[in-house]
Amino acid sequence: MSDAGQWCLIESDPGVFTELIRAFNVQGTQVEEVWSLDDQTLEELKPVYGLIFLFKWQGGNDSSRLHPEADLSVDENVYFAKQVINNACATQAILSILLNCPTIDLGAELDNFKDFTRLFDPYDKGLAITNSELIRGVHNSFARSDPFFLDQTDQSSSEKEDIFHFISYVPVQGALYELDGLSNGPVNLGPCTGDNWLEKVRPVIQERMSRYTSAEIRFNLLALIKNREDVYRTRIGEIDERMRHASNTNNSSELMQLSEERDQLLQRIEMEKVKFKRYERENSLRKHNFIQFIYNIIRILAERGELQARIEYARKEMSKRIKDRAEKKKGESGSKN
Amino acid sequence: MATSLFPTPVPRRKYPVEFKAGKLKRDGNTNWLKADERKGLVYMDQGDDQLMHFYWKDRKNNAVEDDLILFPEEAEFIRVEQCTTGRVYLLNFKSSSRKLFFWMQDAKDDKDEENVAKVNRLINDPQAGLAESRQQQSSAGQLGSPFQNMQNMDDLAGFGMDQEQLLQLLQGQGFGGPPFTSTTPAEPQSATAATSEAGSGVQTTESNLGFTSEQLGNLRNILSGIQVPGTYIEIEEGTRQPDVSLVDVLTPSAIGPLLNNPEIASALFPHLPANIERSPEELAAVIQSPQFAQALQSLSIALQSGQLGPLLSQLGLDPSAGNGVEAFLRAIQEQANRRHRDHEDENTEDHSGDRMEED
Repeated sequence: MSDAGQWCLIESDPGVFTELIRAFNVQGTQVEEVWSLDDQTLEELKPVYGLIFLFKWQGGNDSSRLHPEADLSVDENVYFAKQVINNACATQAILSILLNCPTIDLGAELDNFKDFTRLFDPYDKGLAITNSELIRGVHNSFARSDPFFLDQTDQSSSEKEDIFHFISYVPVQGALYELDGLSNGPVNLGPCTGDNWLEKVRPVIQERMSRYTSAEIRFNLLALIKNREDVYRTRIGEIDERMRHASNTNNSSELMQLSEERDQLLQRIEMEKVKFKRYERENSLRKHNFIQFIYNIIRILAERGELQARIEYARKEMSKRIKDRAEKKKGESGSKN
Repeated sequence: MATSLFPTPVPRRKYPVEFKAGKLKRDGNTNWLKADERKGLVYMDQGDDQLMHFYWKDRKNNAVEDDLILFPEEAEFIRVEQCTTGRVYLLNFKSSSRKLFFWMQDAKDDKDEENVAKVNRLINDPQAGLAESRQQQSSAGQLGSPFQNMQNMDDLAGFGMDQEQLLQLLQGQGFGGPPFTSTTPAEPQSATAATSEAGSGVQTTESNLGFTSEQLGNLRNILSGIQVPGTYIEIEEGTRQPDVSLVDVLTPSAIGPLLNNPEIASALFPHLPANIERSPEELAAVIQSPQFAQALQSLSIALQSGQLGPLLSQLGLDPSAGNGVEAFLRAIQEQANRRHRDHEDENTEDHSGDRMEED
């Protein structure tokens, strides 16, 4: 494939996805990892715009095959794009949610893109995504800058054989859809409302999980949700309103409770800020080319005459590594029981 | 839980060590392992030849498929760390590249450690191991395991799930997390705890024992499609002398102290990402970050792939530095030695040829 086909692999990490979306100039969203599908966990994340499910790809199991009875006709309400490029699936999964969520502020560029490609057929939509400089540029900004990463030699040999695939779940105009760029069309999983779609999606994802468990447990579930800080600020606004009311009526116990709630929300906002700082830092380290840094440390060790000892140490470590690890593992599992 | 609902089977002679385990086989010509789904038993015993034997038999037809004589210290039985989802163990022959892989089929993992220790004792010191197991057996009058009445759950064993997790699966409850994250290895205990803490309606163990036949049918359907998760693990081939990894050369504990030296710290500052503060503390944090470890690992792999030669000449290194991590390190050492000599040498000629200019 030509240069247009060069898409880097993307780490499935909420910090990476969050920055990716921000780089599209989409406002007011973030991505969180979902650890459990229980009600409380999902409740905490609301409003959820869509879910992204990552799994190890096994050929021939696209959504249309898993849901043979499903209606794949392309509903014009649904933005569905075929996946044309392998590594683009992370971005494609994100776009599947973004472009199907009228409540998200997409920003001018993505808005234009959506408008421009709205009437394309799924394949042409996929091509448009692939050829969009904005989208490819943002996606590839996560390519590590070391030249060898373009060759994808950074994948250890055990990972090289694993192909991961992302699909999205998103409610569109009263129906729950599974959007898989490798499928022939959007899979309509039945009616839902903005309130109950998460309940509807749970068994679908569990069905997926049980299916893929058959080969390997390599899953990841990410949720595209409303920016937490915005959510908390809205709640604080509501609390302020109620506090005014409570102070007018001299309801001191309610006041106290409200101000406690308010403090908690402020604390959570602080935690969000810390988290975003961490994301920013991790992403910049992720994108950084460390080769000069590493070379210089080694050079310093060499000049100080300390390198030889390090090499010998590393040799020993390597030769006993497998054994050591196995024993450590044994020890760990033992101590936890 | 003391009383078993099922009649106790007629006892047969116990082997010095035995446990339910299946085999893993190499998938075609690849370095990947695939689970053999047959239910099996690993056991060891002294043979008629008075030597220690290691056996694997098919529990269904009782056919002994593997019978290996093990001499003391000849092999070791170790956990395969790379497999984080199932419980996979390796019988590793120290003197040859022969490796046999097994996956534990007992639903509970609490005996694994003990069994593994027994295997290793029987390999290394057969007489002591035999004596010990005889003693243990004579004193053994333990109650049945709480899961004895779950014998038909045998099939579930080794899938890295405990009974409760399976039930969650059946009941449509989410796992606590680990099973569907790609980054965190599954820890059944914590998963269970997380889910029940969240109050997601996991029933108690007792009430789950009464499966309806329909539920059991469902269970079977699910299980019939299940291979062992995580059974695709790579065999570490010991044929070639392994290269070192930069991760071991530049450990935080080795390079951390250097960073307190202001001269060294300022030599490294220019090579940090732009938005990282230039301070020794930040430097220390960077070298301890997973991203740095990843960079070390990636660079190690890239060096081993031999593709970096041209790039390394930009660092003033001989292209042969791209032949592996050690070659890379040696080349930097030689470069440093050369520079040192150049310094000592008063009537120095032009030495710009292989110098790094910018530091």
